[in-house]
Amino acid sequence: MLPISRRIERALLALLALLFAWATAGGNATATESLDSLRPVVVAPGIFVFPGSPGAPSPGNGGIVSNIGVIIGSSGVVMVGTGTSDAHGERLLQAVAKLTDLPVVLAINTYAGPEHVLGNTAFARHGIPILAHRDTDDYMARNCENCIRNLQSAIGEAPLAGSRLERSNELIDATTSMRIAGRQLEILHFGATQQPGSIAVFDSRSGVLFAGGMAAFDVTPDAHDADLPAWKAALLEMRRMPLRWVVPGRGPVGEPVRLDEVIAYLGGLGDATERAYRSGVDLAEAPRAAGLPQFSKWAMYAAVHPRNVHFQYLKLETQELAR
Amino acid sequence: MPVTHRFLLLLAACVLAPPPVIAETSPDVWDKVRTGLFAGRPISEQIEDVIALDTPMRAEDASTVPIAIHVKLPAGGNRSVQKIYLVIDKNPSPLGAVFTFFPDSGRADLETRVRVEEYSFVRAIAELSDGSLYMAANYVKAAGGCSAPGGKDQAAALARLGKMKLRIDEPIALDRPIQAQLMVSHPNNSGLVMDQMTRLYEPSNFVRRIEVTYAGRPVMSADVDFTISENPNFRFYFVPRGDGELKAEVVDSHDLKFESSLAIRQGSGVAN
Repeated sequence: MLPISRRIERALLALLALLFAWATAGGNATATESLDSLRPVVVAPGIFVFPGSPGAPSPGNGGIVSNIGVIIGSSGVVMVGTGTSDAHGERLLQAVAKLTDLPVVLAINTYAGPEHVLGNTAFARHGIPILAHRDTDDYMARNCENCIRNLQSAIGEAPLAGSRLERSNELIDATTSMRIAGRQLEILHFGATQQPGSIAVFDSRSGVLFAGGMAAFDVTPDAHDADLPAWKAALLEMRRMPLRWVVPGRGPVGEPVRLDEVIAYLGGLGDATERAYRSGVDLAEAPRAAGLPQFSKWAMYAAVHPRNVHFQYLKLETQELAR
Repeated sequence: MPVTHRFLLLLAACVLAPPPVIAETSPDVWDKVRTGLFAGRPISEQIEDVIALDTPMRAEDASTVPIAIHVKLPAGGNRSVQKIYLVIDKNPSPLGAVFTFFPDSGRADLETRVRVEEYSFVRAIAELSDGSLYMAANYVKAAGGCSAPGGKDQAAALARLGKMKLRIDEPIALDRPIQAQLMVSHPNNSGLVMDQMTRLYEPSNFVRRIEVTYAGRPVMSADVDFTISENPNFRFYFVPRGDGELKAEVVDSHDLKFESSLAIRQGSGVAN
């Protein structure tokens, strides 16, 4: 269904991407912290990423922990993610203006995370439409006041001055193909996965997939609202697509094979939590009992993995009660 | 207090409450609760040989903070724990639960999950058979438990309302304490959570009374409120003296009654 690029173009893309992969190699905190969140890195011709910091939101990184994607077509620009705050959204737009004279014609909220959607206000101010899955918009509406409060306590109030929730205004209910800005984009919804409305954005010409909240490389993914089997199925489906490069929501751009690491983590998380639950381990003890040392090198493991276990444990309880 | 009055009070408390502040000590609330519950009775904090309270230093989730109370008095001694009061200073309703234990409890140990609205002391006060009081208090870092959105799908939650499960994870042996777990499907709405889309508060609706018996004899009872997390969950002990039925009866703030039971035979494990 997806067009296959010509050989020369593919070779060029591969070279560029390799350069990028080299530039961001390592992926651990020390390697990526030197990345400037407003200095775009090239993924493929016309495709850039403003890299987020791999750690937890902190005063040091200003909460800029999500990769923000830029897709430049022949007639405009599509942004994947809007940033952590109104000010960050504004700075991203200024940085894009240095890359191209073309107008930003669409921003996409691939999941409901404060580091990915709180820049919506800046985009709205410039009249840029904001696309999201209906469930993401709903999730933002229900949770963002709490998100902003939590983020304030992590990074301080100053960086979030003027930040509030701006709802998405172009809602989709399912996978959607769109011709926009002179590019062909596939907006992919695999059902409720990492979050109910998580989507990925695939640029067929470059073979670059922006996986949003559904992928994180070298960073422990947030699975607290996740349907693990559905999420794993989505990642397996991505693996069958003609991908060249994957831009995860967090961590360095990687080859598609790196999605297997996320699949392995989700499998490990599900199995270890279920084992603890079935054997009568209580909620307080479960995060320790369901540790996954093979993933403990990932950024945020110590903070995020126990939380993932906690919420998956509660999910098992709810399932048992629903029977 | 009628439910509606209580709801209005809570609503007012939520609207008028100042924004959360982080405070290491919170003597005012505790002083008031203490006076209300125990008047001038002395409360010992020399608890090493009496009780222990386990709480996480920092909670994974403020709406489901696991807590455990362990009794350290020797079994069969002349003193036993008869009641445990659970107080969370900074919560809108600081006295969240009163648990009562009986001879057939065997051990007055208890585990449950609570909501913690702000960084707060969590206190367990044990009342012993000789009338003495002992308190364990831990500071817990969690915020937003009472006003964080609960289960996302309220319709599915209501469809499960009142479903219960009793679970035992160890082989049954007679005449010694066996741990049982009671799970209740209930939103346990505090009435403090505003739907950020409709700007309306979901009505308060929570489990308020729990009675567990074995072979007709009381094992554990509790008066609780929305301090207890969504899908209330309790682990407690009972002593089977012979084959019988472990039975739990639950009443919520709308006076709906739910019950569940589990047939126990010697040597069997989980019988449901």
